[in-house]
Amino acid sequence: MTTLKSARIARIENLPKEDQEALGKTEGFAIIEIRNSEPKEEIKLIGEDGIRGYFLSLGRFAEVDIS
Amino acid sequence: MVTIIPCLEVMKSVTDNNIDSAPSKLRVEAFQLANELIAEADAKILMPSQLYDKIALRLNAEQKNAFETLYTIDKSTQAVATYDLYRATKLVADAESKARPIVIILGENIDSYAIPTNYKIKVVKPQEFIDKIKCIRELKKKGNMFDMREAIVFSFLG
Repeated sequence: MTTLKSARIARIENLPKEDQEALGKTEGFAIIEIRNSEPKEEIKLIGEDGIRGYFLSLGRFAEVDIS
Repeated sequence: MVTIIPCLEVMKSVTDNNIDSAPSKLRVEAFQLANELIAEADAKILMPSQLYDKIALRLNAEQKNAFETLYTIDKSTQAVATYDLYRATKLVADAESKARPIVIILGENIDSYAIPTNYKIKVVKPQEFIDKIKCIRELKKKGNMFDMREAIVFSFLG
């Protein structure tokens, strides 16, 4: 079980070629994560659901009124 | 660097599990574009801790870690009883505008924020923000050679 420690947003155009090949894309946006326990980088595509979809991929939001 | 401060109503929509209404979808789209500008135009998404503390109630541990590393949380007025969300936003925007070429406050109930009359602070609704950023991108796609950050400053401040 890994734990997300940090996240960055990046343009896929600016990623190294090998990362672009791994993602299968040359443009768009991606999230660069660092996960523990042994710190390791993971790159995820930001899909059609955008950054909100990324947050939802980490879990559902708590149903709390924040007015 | 461009600074974007999202308002509560925007972040409420972003952290809502079900977004069905057209206004909610617009807020989420505007926030998405703001995020893309982080990578595209060296933008910064900034929020006072009064705002983040509210949103954090909806986030799990991993979402909080992502949030706190993707965005800048200004804790200047944290736990200061006399500073509510609106007053904290005004203070942070005012200070930020002295250090950055433009501060964009993204929200709808903008009258509530009593935004300072600093010319470098622009308060925009989601639709206006989306239209302007898409327009800049279109111009760039057509081969116009300009710096994205400068184009944003020019487009929003005129």
